[in-house]
Amino acid sequence: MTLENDTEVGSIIGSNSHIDYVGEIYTETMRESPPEPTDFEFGQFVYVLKEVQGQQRAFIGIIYDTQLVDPDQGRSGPRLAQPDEQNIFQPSYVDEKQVLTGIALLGYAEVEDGELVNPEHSIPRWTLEIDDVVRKLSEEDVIRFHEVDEEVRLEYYQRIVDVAGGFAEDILSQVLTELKEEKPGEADALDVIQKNLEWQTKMGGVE
Amino acid sequence: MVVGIVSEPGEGSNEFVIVTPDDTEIKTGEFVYYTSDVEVRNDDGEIEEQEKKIFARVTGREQQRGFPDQFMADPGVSPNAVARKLGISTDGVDLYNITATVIGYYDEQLNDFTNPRIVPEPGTEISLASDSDLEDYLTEAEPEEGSAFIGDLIHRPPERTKIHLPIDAFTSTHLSVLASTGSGKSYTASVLVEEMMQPDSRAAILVLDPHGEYGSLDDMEEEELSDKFRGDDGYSPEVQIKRPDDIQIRISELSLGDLFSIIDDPSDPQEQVLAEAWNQLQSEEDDYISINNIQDKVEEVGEEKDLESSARALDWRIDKALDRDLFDHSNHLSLPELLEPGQCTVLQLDTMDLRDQQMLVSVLFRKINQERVAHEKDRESELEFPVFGLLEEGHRFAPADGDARSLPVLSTILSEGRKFGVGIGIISQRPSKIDDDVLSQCKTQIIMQIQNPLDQDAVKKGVEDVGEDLLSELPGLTPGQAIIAGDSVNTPFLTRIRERHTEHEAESLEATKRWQQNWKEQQRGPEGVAEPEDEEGAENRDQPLD
Repeated sequence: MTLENDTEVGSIIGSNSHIDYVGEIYTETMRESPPEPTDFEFGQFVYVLKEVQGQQRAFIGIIYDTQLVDPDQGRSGPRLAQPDEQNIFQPSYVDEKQVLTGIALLGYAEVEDGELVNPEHSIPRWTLEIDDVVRKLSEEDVIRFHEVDEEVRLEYYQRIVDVAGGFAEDILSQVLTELKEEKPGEADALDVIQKNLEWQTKMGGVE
Repeated sequence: MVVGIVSEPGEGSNEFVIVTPDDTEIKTGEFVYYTSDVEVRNDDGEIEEQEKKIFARVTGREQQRGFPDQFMADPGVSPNAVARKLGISTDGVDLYNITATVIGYYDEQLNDFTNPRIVPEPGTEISLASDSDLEDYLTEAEPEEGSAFIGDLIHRPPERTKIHLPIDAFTSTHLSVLASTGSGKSYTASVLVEEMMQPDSRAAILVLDPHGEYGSLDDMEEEELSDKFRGDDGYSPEVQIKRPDDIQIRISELSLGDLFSIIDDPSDPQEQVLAEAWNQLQSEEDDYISINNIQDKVEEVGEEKDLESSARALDWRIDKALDRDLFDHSNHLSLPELLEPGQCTVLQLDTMDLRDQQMLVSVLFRKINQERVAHEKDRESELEFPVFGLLEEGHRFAPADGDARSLPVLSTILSEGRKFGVGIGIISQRPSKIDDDVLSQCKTQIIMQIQNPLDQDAVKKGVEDVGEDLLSELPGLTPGQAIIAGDSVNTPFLTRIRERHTEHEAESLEATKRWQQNWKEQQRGPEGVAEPEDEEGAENRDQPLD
């Protein structure tokens, strides 16, 4: 399976910072087969394929937030068309309903023969662009992205905490749980990180 | 090599704090230096500024930055592994604050350290003192020139910084080796003896050995060790081991005080009679006084003074006190036989009771002192060379409660001996039981592991120039490690005592092995005795008699 076959979940429509992007999830009007809700769930790893300096790279991020946008909301005036016919007479009301996602950029990897190689967890120097297609990263590739120098790493840890704020614990916990299952040999060390994370977030709320 | 940077002055007036990235090089007790300009007097007597290395001793280490405790939540997972997973570099994470105390720069004219009385400025580079600087500056001794190679610095790799003690210094200003049992005090003392018997010093040593631990010093005479002890001019050390049976005191060598101390509870008139009789006998200048001589003289004096009953009462007391193997009217340990340059005499006192040991030390050292004083005053003397006496179990001979015949003579020698060439080495595991004055007169100290708080206090009181930081190391020292301080060294330091050339005898008995051996021997039983069942005719034993 190569990266190109992964589900396209949306496109980049803006950013809040170099590592904090906003994506719009494809709807029925944009794609024949729009993504399923499980394709853009909270904590889903996604990527954008780009060629930089002649090298195909995957910019890998994670969905840390979602926002629903309905321009029709709060308009109480009369409609010319019946609801069933709105698609035809006022398509914008339908089009403009959006699911926006916050994507935190975690790192990047080179792509060779459709495979992720040399994953890096540092901030990429290059930016994503508007309309870049966001794809769902398969579970297999999630694991591959975390294998740096032959061991599991989450060097982006602090960046998620900074970008995702209060949601960081849940996202990281989810990632850690999955990594622990997939890499039982490194579960102990990951467990130390996970417990520390839980303690800090949860105790931070109590204290 | 720069190992750290000064960050701020410390709490004490001579202290400063260094920040260093790792702890591998700088251990507590280590020596570091920085360079600074100081005003010194040059050879022409003019004052000029010179750049000097100013040495300091590391007294403490605190971690300033390191991994958080949370990284150590699982004992099976190293904090490094956790940090790596989070993308935190694991190199150079630890930052240490090192506290150091300024010792000073080495003043070639004083042959000692001089404290510049100012701590370095923040930002000053701190380097590790080189081995050769330390060898040159810690003590004033040159190898092979009347020096004792005692070991090496503890915080450096073995044999990197060799420590030589000047034998002249510690034999004239006295020495103490203080350590709890099993931490190697007799081992250390033996190393010193070995060094003093080498061709470059050829000492005259007398070892008082109440436990019989120093017998193996006679290995020095062995052919196998000839490369260590033989001199090019044919010198070879002699070792004499004297067993308790060989040790006797000639009665005429006792002082009146000695006599009083061994005579059982004499009354005043008895003392008067004995004093008179003894003085008369002494004035006759007879080297040989027997018990009978004393008894006859006492009787004579008793009659003269009309104190016959006291004289009679003294009669059996004298018998009781002197009629023992230790005292003899003619045999004695003659000083020329005991003491000679290049000779080490070990007096093994293991079966002698405590009072006899004290009496022996008292008589022997009084005589040594007298002969040495006579020599220095240009009178006829049996000892024309300095001598060094090593007293194992020193608290027996100079106890804090003062109850020992030997204390006064030892006190005299320790306070005046340096003038007359009598050096004393006190070895003890109970410094708190040694007389304070005696302890403080031993100007060179080798202190090893001491756990008893009373003894630690005694060491603190008796040893002036060892800082708190070094003394706090005392309970944690392992056998063979010692703090050396005092007049023979320029600043106190931690040493690893070198290995002995001769065999060490004072190991504890291997009880379990001995028990097994004895049990087996008993099981074998005496030969020729058969079990009752195995005896001939045993089967008929229970037959009724017809």
